[in-house]
Amino acid sequence: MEKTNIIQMRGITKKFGPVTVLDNVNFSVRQGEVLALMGANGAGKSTLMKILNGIYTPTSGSIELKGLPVAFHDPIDAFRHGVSMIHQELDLVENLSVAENIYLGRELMTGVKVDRTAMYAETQALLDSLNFDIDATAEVSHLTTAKKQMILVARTVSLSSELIVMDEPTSALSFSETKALFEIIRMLKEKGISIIYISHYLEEIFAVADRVVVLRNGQVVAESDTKDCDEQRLVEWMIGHAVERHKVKQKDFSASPEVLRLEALNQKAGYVRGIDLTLREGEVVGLAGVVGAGRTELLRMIYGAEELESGTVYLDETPCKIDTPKIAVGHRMGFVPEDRKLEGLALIRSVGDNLALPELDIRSKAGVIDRSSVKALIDKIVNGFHIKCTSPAQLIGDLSGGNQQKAAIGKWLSGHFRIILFDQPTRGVDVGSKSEIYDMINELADKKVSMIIASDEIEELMDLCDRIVVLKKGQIVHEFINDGTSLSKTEILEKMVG
Amino acid sequence: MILSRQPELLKQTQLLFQRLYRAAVCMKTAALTAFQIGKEFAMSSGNQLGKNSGVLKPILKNREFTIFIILLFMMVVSAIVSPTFRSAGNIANIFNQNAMYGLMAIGMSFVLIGGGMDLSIGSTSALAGMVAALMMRDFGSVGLGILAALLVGLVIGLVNGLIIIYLKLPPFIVTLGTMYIARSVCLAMTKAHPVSGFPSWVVTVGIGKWHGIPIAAAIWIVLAVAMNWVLKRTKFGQYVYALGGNEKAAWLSGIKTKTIRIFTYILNGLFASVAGLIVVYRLMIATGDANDGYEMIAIAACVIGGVSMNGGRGSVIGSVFGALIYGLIVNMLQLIGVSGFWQKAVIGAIIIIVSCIDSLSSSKKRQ
Repeated sequence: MEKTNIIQMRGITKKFGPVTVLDNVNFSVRQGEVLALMGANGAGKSTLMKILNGIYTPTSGSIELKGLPVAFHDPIDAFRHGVSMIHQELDLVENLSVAENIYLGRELMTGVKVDRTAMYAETQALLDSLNFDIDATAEVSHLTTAKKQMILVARTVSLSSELIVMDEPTSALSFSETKALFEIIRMLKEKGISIIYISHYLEEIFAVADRVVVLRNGQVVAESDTKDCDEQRLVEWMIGHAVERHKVKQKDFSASPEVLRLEALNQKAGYVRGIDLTLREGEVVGLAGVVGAGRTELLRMIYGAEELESGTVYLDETPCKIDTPKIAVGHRMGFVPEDRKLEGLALIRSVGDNLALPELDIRSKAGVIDRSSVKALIDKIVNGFHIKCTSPAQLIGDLSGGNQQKAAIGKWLSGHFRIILFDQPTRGVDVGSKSEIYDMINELADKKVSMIIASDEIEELMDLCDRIVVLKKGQIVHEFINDGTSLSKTEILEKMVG
Repeated sequence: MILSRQPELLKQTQLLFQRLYRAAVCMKTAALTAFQIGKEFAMSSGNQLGKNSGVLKPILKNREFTIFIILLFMMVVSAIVSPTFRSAGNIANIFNQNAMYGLMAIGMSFVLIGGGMDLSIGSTSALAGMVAALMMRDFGSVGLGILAALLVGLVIGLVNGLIIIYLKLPPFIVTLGTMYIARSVCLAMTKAHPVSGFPSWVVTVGIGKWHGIPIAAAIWIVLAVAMNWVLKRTKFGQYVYALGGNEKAAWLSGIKTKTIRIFTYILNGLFASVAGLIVVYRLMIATGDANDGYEMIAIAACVIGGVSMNGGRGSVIGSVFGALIYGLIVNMLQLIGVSGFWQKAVIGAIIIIVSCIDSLSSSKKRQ
């Protein structure tokens, strides 16, 4: 039986000046279904969702809510009609309590006084009815990302939303938290609530969505029930052509010189303990583990960004004391942090300024920058890694997410650095950029650069790494040699969680 | 009655139209010149790393260019409205009178671009000036005075930097504290008695001219150009930008962010000292309550000149334009006889208007 459409967007076109971002898009969501909206960065997903949410007005086209034409003026207008959105940046007021956040802007009042008791009671009842283990009086800043997400879900439910848009909800969630979110989504679905689910993770789409709509260059290029398609097809729809999976070729590193060795590394005031690891020239080692396994901490310990309690780091078989990133950089070591906006790039500075930063030191004489050398460096990186920008003078914050990530990685890739540590190198980037980043990494390995890559995506590690080290609760629990054929994803997963 | 006054009225109206026409012509010329220069800037595309070279490139960036145009426009309008303004003497005066603010704004640019804040420089400059004055009065040594003044600036800057970095306190609070402490020391040192009796030639540095060039202004402009070069062309300068752009990213890129930050405060202290010296040389007297609130004028000059309060953006040259705009407004209001009480209101309005233009143009870009 065909379910009725809760929302129907017809012939939506949106132009920004001469640029057409959405071109005659027809899009509908049925009652009580989970619809995955897919597309590479810049495909028009967020513009479409902003139109649905009343943030943008379409240039042409119409929206019907349960068969009646509507026009939302702003997000408040949208949620009054039962359409709400959970943004990737969880928009909560951190220093207020859970209840105050849920009732933000519509506080329960007795006279002129905010009735906190009633708000707490109502919120607790709501949270309990959803089976969320959250205290309504707790301050939001003390909660985990997963709980914050639950609060937003609870808020949308309390607003009696009938359609919820979730933008990259799992980008900051751990494995088990993601599973819990899927449970919540299923529960919402049973209540007849429709969900538009946006994610870069293909597996999630198959785990949670009923139907998938793919946007490319502002047009709907495919629409299918999830059970009728597979990952390969989805990726092809998204980028417009077939992709070949990168496969690691088996290499023998036993004869290669050792570049980095960790001996009994212990984190100061932390849980990462007793790490022994060897990295050889041109070798790519993957760090697998669930969130909280200590992958980020380990990388930062090697790089001098996290204090050591004890242990020795050997570079070229000589012990080295690396206690600041500056020393690591001096040893020609680079680090791509997990969050490019927070730690990787200065978004208000230009592409060129960001790319040149790690090498300014060696490209200056007596403190004065050698401008031609720096310019050559920037051109080399921008052209070599196809960072799309109008010029190196463009603000890096104005680039697409994928290109920003390429720059965050590219700043270490001039050829000067010989050990590069990656923390989630493809997090939150679209499939196109992802494949370009894989090319960058493979090319580096061919140039005998040694790398350690921490990633949540096991396939990624299997595609890129010669060896995969599994961390659990701050310790190395297993090591896999990746010969490109025999290793299976379940094997690694078992070691991660088992 | 009315009839008899008609010719005069006609004459006045004619005169008014003549002036307006002249103003329009001037503005048109200014706008065209500006457009040409602007095109050149656009071609040479500013001064960030990795761009092609252009003749004017090191000096200005788009934002500085906007502020330069505003300055030019204000000068043209002032010149038309007031004949006194046009005299070479008056223009030289504007430069000279604002040298101390401009000098402070140089150091302040570094602190603000690095993402910091410093409220202490008004007091620092007063204390530095006072110490120099005592040296000159009691030992008759100008050189010793300069050294002592610079030492005061260096120490206060260093203390500010160390407390901010190692005790991890907000710069606003730390420098508010040192502002009061320095002021107290300055007053207590002489029990609030003014200090005077310096070698008479130092006044030349304060207000004198050399071949028609006002000396204090020359010191300011030369130092500003030099420090602008430091900001744009040296590793240190680029690190200051990186620090203000994203401190964590800068640290992870192998930059000694703590050292760089401390240096910005030291620079600010040193430039406050130089400004303090200039004030003493001008007035030939040092008082405990001197230079009160100058830090705000320096901040205003930076903000008008395009230095971002959030760090990561701006230039020393911008702060020079900012200080000149400030001086120009004060000068014009005096010339056309507006009460001094209204000066600050106008300055305040200018700060807000300039920031509005900035935020509008950048939000337009974002769309």
